[in-house]
Amino acid sequence: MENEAKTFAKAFAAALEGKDEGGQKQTARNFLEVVARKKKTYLLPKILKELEMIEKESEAVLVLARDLDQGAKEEIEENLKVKLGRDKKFKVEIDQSIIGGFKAKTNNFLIDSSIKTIIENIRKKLV
Amino acid sequence: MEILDYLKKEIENLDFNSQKEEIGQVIEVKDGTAKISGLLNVSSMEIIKFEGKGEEVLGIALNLEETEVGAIILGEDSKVRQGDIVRRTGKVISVPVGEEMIGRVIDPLGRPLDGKGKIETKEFGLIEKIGPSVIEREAVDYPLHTGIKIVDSLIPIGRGQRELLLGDRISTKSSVAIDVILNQKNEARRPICIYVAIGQKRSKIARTIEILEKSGAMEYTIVVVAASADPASFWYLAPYCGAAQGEYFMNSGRDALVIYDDLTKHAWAWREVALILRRPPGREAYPGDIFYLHSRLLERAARLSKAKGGGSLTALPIIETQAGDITAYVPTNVISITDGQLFFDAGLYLKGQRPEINVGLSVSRVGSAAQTKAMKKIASTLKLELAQFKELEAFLEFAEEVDQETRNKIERGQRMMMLLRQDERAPLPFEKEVLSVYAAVKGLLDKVKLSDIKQAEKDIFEYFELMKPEVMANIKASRDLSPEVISELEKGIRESLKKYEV
Repeated sequence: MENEAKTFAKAFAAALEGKDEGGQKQTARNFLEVVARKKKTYLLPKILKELEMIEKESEAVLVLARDLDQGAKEEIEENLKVKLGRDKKFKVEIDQSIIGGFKAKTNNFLIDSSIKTIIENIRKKLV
Repeated sequence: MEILDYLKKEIENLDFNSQKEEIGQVIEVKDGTAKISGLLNVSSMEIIKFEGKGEEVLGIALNLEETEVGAIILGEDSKVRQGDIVRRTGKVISVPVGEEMIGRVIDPLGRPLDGKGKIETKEFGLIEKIGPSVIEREAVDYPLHTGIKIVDSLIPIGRGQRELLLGDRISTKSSVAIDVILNQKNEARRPICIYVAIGQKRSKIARTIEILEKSGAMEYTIVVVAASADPASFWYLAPYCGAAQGEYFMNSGRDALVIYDDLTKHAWAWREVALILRRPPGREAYPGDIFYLHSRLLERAARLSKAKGGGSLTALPIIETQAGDITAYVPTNVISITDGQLFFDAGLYLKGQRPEINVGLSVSRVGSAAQTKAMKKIASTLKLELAQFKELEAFLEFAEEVDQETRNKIERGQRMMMLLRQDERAPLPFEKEVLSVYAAVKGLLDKVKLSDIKQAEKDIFEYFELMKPEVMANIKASRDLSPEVISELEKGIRESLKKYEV
């Protein structure tokens, strides 16, 4: 048996996708009913944990040196989605210390093409 | 201009394509360990890098849990902060090994501590490795001479054997272990020695290194240091690093000797790490794998078969007992793993016997297979006579008057015990040991006063060194006692002891 709580959580997250607040509430109610009918209410704490994990995984941070225009940002995000897989909600952060380029960070992965890191790599290589 | 060209070339070769890296984030740091979220595909014992604001700190992933990874930090944990990025390296922890290590003082990660510059090695040895298989091994049959008379005659140690040194805090375990290293200078087939200091004071380690350097033993010795101020993760890694160093020489067909001083502290360090990582505690709060901790380490000591080059790794672990209790948890564990033990008796120490090895409780399970023919011929009688003496000695406390024969036995026994005493830092070459044991066993010292025994021994050595160097050379080369040599010995010893006869 694969992790049952995970299966429930995945289904629930998929069902919530793209619904407005009212719809989400209704979906949640339905979901609870299904869980209750299957006599799996004891799984609820685990399901909650799994949901938190899914939430965490879909989060991604995009660090930029300065604010870019919407077009450029979208282009980066499009490409990143292909590399990191699945839908990501990008939270943009501005950090001037990276000098230029960008850093994309999720819970498990990092794509670092900031100028700062490149310079740092050169320093490591030469020292 | 050359430098510019060089720089240009180097920079051109750099790879600027940023790759997708697997990372994690530090959730929690406590006492040398860290809890990390992420690091999805990390493997057990993999090196990870903590990238804080300042320096990079290394760590090892130990606990792989469902959503988190528990790791030990190799360095100062104050440099790792919550939220720091942790990178995978894909490398299972290993240390540099090789010829270049000889004569150096290193930390458990193979970094030099002696200020003699960088160590450039070609090879790396795994910190955690399963010891050689049954097929790859061969029986231990070549002696590792310790230079300690009582050990080489009664409890012989062979190359590839694991012999435990255990005793109380006051005993001279470490000192004997260092004497063993010093004595290898006298050996024709000299093993590379590795001294692993775990949890000792830096001042004590410095003194040990000074002794090794002064006597020239550093030329064939590697010292691995995890001092008392170092984090528990270093204490935990140090013996495995020592084993990896020794394995290199074993695998290249040579002999190596590794001394773990001491494994009690190593067990403490592992207990500390395991408790902080929230592994379930067992007896005496040690984690469940405390036996495996030591067994996997000591199983790496071996004598390899001819097909594998015939090298060997001898292990001399040291364990500290509390009030002579050898039935405590860790001592019994290690006793059962090793091929014998030397028990240092605090009672004998206080009586002035040095080294205070209790012959009754000490054993070498390899036995006389690891003795030279010369020693075998004389040591068997020694063992028997000593055992008889011990029995009578206990009996003597009750009976005042004894017959002449018993008295003779006791007197000879006392002389043997006196002769087996040995000062620190004075290991004897094999041929001298033979001389001295021969004199005792054959009763040639019976007429010498007990207080003169030590001087008499010196006189015997002096006589043979000056008058009969060829006899000594013969014993050293043939490692046997031919009838001619025996008669020479008999004559020479009687000659040198003339002045003691009344």
